[in-house]
Formats: sequence, C-alpha cells, structure tokens
Amino acid sequence: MKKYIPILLILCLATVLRIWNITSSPSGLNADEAALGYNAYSLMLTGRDEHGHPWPVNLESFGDFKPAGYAYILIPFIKVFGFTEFAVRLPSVIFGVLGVLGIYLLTKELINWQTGQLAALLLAVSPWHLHFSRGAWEVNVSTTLIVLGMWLLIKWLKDPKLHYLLISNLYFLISIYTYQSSRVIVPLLGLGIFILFFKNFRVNYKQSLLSALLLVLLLLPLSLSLITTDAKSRLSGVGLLADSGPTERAKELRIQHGDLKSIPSKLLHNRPVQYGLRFIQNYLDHFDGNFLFVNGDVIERSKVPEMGLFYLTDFIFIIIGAMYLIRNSSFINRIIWLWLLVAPVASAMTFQTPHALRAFNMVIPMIIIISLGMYQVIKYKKLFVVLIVAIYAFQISDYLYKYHVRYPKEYPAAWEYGFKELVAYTESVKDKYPKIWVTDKYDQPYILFLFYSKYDPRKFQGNHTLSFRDKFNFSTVRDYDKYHFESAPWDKVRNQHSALIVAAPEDIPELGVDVIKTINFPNGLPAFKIVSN
Amino acid sequence: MKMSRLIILVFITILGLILRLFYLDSRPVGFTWDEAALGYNAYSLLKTGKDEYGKVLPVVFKSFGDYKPGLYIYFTVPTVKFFGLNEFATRLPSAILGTLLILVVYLLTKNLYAPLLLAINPWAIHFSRGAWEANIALFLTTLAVLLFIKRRYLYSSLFFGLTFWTYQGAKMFTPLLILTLLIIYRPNIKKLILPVLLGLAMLIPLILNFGSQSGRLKVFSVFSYSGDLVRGITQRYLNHLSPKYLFMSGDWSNIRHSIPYYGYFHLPEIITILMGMIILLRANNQAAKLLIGWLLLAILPSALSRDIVSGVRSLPMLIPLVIMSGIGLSKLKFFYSPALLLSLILFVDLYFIHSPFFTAKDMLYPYKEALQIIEPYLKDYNRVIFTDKLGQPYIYTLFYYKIDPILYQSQNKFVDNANGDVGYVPSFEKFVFQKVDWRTQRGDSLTIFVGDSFELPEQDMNPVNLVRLGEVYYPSGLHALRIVALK
Repeated sequence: MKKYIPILLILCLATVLRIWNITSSPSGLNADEAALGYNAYSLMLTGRDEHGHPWPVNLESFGDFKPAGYAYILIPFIKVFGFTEFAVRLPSVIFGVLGVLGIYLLTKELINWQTGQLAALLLAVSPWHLHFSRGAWEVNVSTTLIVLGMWLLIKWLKDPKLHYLLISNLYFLISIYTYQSSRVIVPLLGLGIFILFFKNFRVNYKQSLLSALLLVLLLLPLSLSLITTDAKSRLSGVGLLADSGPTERAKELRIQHGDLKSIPSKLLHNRPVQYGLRFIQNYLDHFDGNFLFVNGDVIERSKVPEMGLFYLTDFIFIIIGAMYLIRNSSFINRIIWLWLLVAPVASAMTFQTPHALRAFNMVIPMIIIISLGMYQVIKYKKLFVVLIVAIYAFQISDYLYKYHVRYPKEYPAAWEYGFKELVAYTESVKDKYPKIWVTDKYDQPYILFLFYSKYDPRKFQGNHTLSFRDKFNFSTVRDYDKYHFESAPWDKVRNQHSALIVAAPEDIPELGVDVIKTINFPNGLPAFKIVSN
Repeated sequence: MKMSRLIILVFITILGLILRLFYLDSRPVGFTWDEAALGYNAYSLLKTGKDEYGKVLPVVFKSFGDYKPGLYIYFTVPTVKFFGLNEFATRLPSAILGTLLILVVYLLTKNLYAPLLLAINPWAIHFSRGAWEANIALFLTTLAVLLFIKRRYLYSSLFFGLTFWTYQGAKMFTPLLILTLLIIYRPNIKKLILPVLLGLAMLIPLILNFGSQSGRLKVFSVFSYSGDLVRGITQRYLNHLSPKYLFMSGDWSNIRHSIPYYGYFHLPEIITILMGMIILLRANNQAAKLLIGWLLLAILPSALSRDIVSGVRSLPMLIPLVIMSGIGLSKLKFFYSPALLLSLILFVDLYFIHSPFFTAKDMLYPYKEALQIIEPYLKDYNRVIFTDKLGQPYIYTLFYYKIDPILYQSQNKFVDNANGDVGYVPSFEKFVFQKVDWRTQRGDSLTIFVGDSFELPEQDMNPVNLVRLGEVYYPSGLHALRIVALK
C-alpha cells in the first residue's frame, strides 16, 4: 500500500490543479465547448444532435463535423450535474487526471516506476497538459485514451494475454471517435508498432487477427459516416491544400525564370515540390524550441501570455533525457521515439503550424523524455533535488499566476467571455422586443445563446438553417426564435425600429445613442453594448 | 594518403572552389557597405599605407565608427593589387579561405564526407561569397583547433590570436573554445607557457583600442534592451537550433545572411546530422565532446546579442554540424547521394537565378548603377545631391570612382554618432549626401539629384531646366532610384 502513496498524492495534486476554479477560469465558455454541451443536451433529450441528425458519429455543428465522442461522454455528466459549464468541462478534467495516471502506468512499463512517478508529477503540473485539461477539449480525452491504449499494448507485447490487446484496441477506437487528429495519429502509431514488433504479432497471430477483425468492425460506423456525410470537408477547410501559398510561390519562381513553360523551371518549381516542402516545414515547426519552451502557440485560446508549452528549464532535461535514451537504447523504448516522430503529423497536414492543440499528443513522449532526463540528474547527485524543486516551484507559481490572473486580462476575447451575462439579460427582456439583433463578431454567438438559455432542442432542430460555408469551410446559424446574428455596424442597425441591438463596442458611436447596458471583459474594457431602438 | 583519396579530395576542393568563385562579383547581387569599406580601406592601405582616416597601418579600422578588426582588409590588399578595386577582389579572400577550409576539415576528420558536405554547404557557400570577416575567423578558428589537436600549440595560439584581429564575435567564442579544448585534451602545462604568452601579446593592440568600441558593444548586446532577460536569451539560443533556421529558411531576420526559401543545410542533411549526433553521443570520446561543446558554445555570442537570430554570429556552428552530417553520410553513403544532388540543384538554381529578385534591396543593388549613370556628367555640374536613405552612400562613391585615398584622407568629414552606433559622412567634394528635398531644391541650378520616387516624385519632374539622366530598377522591376539634373 505504501508504494502507492506518492502516485495518489500526485493524482490529488493533478485534480486540484485541474478542477480549481474550473467554471470561471478560463473565463468564458468558447463556442466549441458550448457546441459539445448543447449537442450532448440535445442527444440526451431527443436522441438527435442540434441539426436533427439521429445518433451521429460526427456532429455537424458549425460545418466542422466534430467527432461526437465527447458529446456522448458528456450525457451522464449533464444528467448528474445539470446543464452547466461545470458539467461540460468536467469530463476533460477527469480525463486529464486519468492522463496523469496513464503516463505513470505507461512509463512504468517502458522504463521504471521511479521515472513513471516523475513523469506523472511533471504531467500533473505541465502547462501544456493543464491548459487542455481545463476546458472541454476533445483532444485531451482522446490523448488520454491513446496513453491508456498504448500502456495495455505494451503490456500485451510483454505478456500476450488477449484481453490486454482487445481493451487496448478499444481505447484506441474511442480515441478515434473523439478527435480528428487521432484519426491520423492512432493508425500511424499502430503501424509503427506493428512494424517494430512484427515478431510478437506473428507469434500471436490468432490474437492479432481477432483484434484486427474487431477494429474493422468497429470502424464501420465511422467509414459509413465519412462516406455518407460531408464530414471529410473538414480537411479541405483547414488542410494543407487549402493554403494557396505554395502554388503562388511555384508560380512566382517560374516567372523569375523568364520562361514559364521551360522544362527546368517546371521540373524545379511545381506544386508537388512546394507542397512537399511546406508539409516538411509544418512538421519540423513543431520541434522548434521557441514554440515548445518559450512562446508557445500564437493562437490566444491555446496560449498563456509569455509562457511556453513547457517550463523554460525543461529544455535542459529534454537534452539530458534524449542523450540518455540514445546511449541506452532498448527495443521497447523505441516506442518513445516513434511517438515523438508521429505526434505532429496530423497537425502538419493543416496550414496553421505549429499548432499546440492539434499536436497535443506530443506532450506525452516529451514529458517522458524530460522525466527521464530529470531522473538521471537526481540520481547523479541527490543535492540537485533541492535545486530542481526550488526552480520548479518558482516556475509553477509563475505559470499559475499567468494562467489565472494575467490570461483573462491580456487576452480577454480569447474565450468568449460575457455571453452568460448577456444571455441572462436578453432572456429577461425578450418579451418586450419582436426582434433581437446580435453581433457575430465573437465567433459563433448562436450556440452560446442556445447553451445559456437552455433553449429546447426540439424547438431548435427543425427551425433553423445553416449558412453557406466561409473560406475555412465554417457555417453558422443566422436566425432562430427572435434572435438574428449578424455583424452590427451602426449605419446598418440604426433603422431597425423597436429592436434590441447587441453590438460590439466599436460598432456603436460614443454619443447620441441610447446604450441601456454595457457588458465588460475581465479587464474592464467593454465587450458588448446593448442598444434599445 | 592513397592516390584515389587524394584525387577525390582535389575534386571536392575544385567543386567547392567553383561554387565559391562562379559569378563572385554579382552573386549575391549588390554590395554591402561593409564590403565597400573593406575594399576601399584595402585600396587606401595599398596606395598610402593608411586607412581612410589617415591612420598608419591600424589593427582596428574606424570605418563607419563600428571599429572593424582589420585582418580582412590586410588580406584584401594583395587581391586589390592584382585585380583592381572591384567587388571580385574584395570578396576573393573570403572565397579562397572558404575553399581552404575544406582541406582543413579534411585534415580534422580524415574522411571525405565532411569535406564534400562542406564544399556544397549553403551556409559556407553564402559566407564565402561575400567579404565576411566572420568567414575568415571561421577558417582561422578551425585551423587553430586542428593545430591544437596536433599539439602544435604555438601555431595554434597564433591562429587563435588572429581571430581577435579578424572578427568582433570571436572575442567571446575563441576563449570559450580554447577553454573547452584545454578541459577535454588536458595538455602538458609546461608546453603551454610560450603559446599563452604569444596569445596575450597579440591581445595588446586590441586592448589599447578597446575604449573607443564600448559604445558599439552596448548597441548590439541583448542586455541593453528591456524585457525578460532569461526568456529573451533562451529564445535566441533555441532559435539557432530550430529546424526552421538550419533546414528551411536560414537567418530569417536579415536578408543579407541567407537566401530566401533555403536553409543553412540541405534538407536531407537533417537525417545525416541526427545520425552523426547519435553516433557521437554513443562514442562519447574526446572528439565527440569537442564537437558537441563547440556546437553548444558557438550559439552563445549570437544568443547574447540584440538580433533574434543571426547567421553571421553563429557561423562557427557550421563546423561541428557539417562534421556530424559527414559522419551520418558515411553510414548512408551512396544511398543518400541522389537526395543531396537534387537539393544542390535546387540550391544553385535559387542562388544564381532567383536570389537577386529577393535580396537586391537589402544588398544595396542600386548604388553601382546610379554612380555609373552620373559619372560622365560630373564635370558639367557643380553639385550632386545624393540621397542617404539607403545608407553610407559616401563609401560607394569612394569605391566605385576609385577616389585617390590621399585626396579623401585630407578632407574626410566623418561625423560620429552620439549613441555609439555608426556615424555618417555629410559631403565629399561635389557630393552632398542627404535626403533630397525637392520642394526647396527644385530651383537650384547645375545640380544632379539622386533619390527615390518619394524624394523625386514623377509628377513634380517639371522645371524647365530639368534633364532626366536615368532610372535605376531592381531586378524584380520595382523602381529604385531616379537621377535628374537641373541645368
């Protein structure tokens, strides 16, 4: 019993760090979280998603076809905790803690239990892992499932019992049904391990065949969904080929040859070469130390001000850990390298790189290598423990301060703050107006209105239309009930008589307008101004 | 050495030489003001034994107030004597020593893969094709390391000492590298006494000059700027190890330091370098420790400076990386050569055909053509108003007109910069170097104007005594300079 105490304490720490203040930090529920929540609510009540599709594999949502796994997982949570922000974020918190447990089990199998404990501790406080455990991020659930699947797969490689393999495959499958990137990562990881450990699979060919059969069977719904719906369009919206940059560059370089059609210029400068280079660049971007340790992602929703995805000093330990792994290579810990190399592939297939969200599963092999490096240092001289604890205590408190205090003030619009108050207000005065016009400046306002007003999904399902796709292949809903969502520049809405106008502050002139209510961001700047015409 | 080995080495060296000499005068297109200053000061030394300020045989040249260590200029004296004062002669010392570096690396590694990769390396080629003091320092440093390992400590000390006379960045890197060598190879202390004395003696002239340069150091140090210092330095350090820097785009913060769309190594070398690194880490011998130490220390001068990343200050990284790549290639051998060949073709195409379209502006391309256009008219006019928007126009005038150094030394009007940064020259003979102010100057007579299309707007080219002497365009077709005269 005694040997389990450290890991139990680590799990407690992980839970506290993940659940503390979860409803108000990050401040505001973002549109994707609201969509997952509302679709789960809709499924729970009607068995259909918001757009009326019965028991979907992918949620059409904003035309981005989110894998529906998270929404299904949410249903019992909404039943128990009600249809609230807390319930929506709780599964991610729980899977975050499970991820910490998972990395302990995995590292224990790969290396040893001491390193496993260290890995669990480091993952529990990791900025990257904490960020995506706080908030309804499907990627977090999906990554934890990959960790657990990998753990059981390694157990099977060491001790081929059928149930290890089958449960492992089940975890991988649920992961595929939960997040887009996993649809690339999981097959690649599986293929890599199949090649590395071909012998094991051949010796236990009966078990291998059985699990392959199970996989094919359980992947059928996904294949059907990809064939019959528009779900594959997601990749054409954010995929590498949606970026015309490489085509333009090939053209530019050909023009510089003077002769567009000459054979050498065609051979050297063409789309395959340029897109190939772009893919490689996207992939390599994820191994940029500046991205990992200093500045993190550029997308405000995925980053904390002045913070990397790892602690600054982690890069010292990753070097030591990598050196140790190179010098003491064993067959089983090649899995760490395999995972590290595969992790950014899905992200590299899209055109906003490096991408902390889509490449999130990188955190696992990275933390394992960091903990390995740190373990070597601690083993070398016990005195270093004091130093490391001091440095990390400082960095962790610095990070928590940045996350909970500076983040909402410096990037107030990163999370869609203000809608809760806004919806409560508009719902309370709704009866006085025939029409309520709401700005669409903040992403997908309709879903937040549905969420916060707990609008009956039965009333919504048949009575709305999705707009045409924009250039990123996103759609939105412009009208439901009394609400109309559109940008609200003053010259357009000033003649809307007897309507309630919810506008972004820059759309409303400072003087001569009857602003009846203003809703502020956490930093005190206005988010919404409400005008009654 | 076996005959066949020698033949291959000669072939590799010739390949390297061709890649460094081919179109040396015009690729990179244009000429930086530092290059012009190195060339003209060499010319000045050749004719008078003094620099542009009339100082006799200086160790450190004041130049634009940036106090250039002078060895490059001394190397350029013979090439200017043989080939005249032109771009080719100014760049030649760098190209020659860049080629000789291939042989030094052969002697260091005793295999042919690293020299081959160095011969075709984009980073090495680029800095050998311009008058870069850092490239000379790289050669001297590598040679000094070779001599140290061969236990020729006195010669080693001499060449290490010369790096201080060559390049500012060496002042930090050379001592660090010497320290690394001493720790790893632990030579007999008695044998070091004379070399140490020699090294210290070589520092004396530099120490005497130090007071005048401290302002410059302040401008370029990261410590002079606000922000979180630890994060700032870490960021700079990691930038130099990023795949983007090494394999995709080179130094992205300064166009002069690389060519667009290509890294400092050929992309396939990412595999060979990683393999080499793995092999070195497993070997863990003296050579491995030296190379890894060298790599990690070579980034420091750059990480502590103002720029976010710098291809010139971190140039010493090239040697350990190319050796690692060579070790990796020796495992993959011919299997890998098609990928490298293809990369080389892409690189050569980008370098010789495409780079002018992207780099002409930063490489100050318009000066030469503008000066050539006005040359025949000079005798007919009293004054030339030449814009200083592009920076340091005076040195180009001296360089391209081959102005007699005796004449210039006697009327040097250089103005120092109060903040320690570079200064400027306001005028020389008929030339006035300032922004063209067409509204007040359009009534002048017997004056030539050189300015861009904002200083000399097309719609205002209407005084009756105006003569249009020419226009200068960038290779991309954009307008660069307009040259007009008022009779």
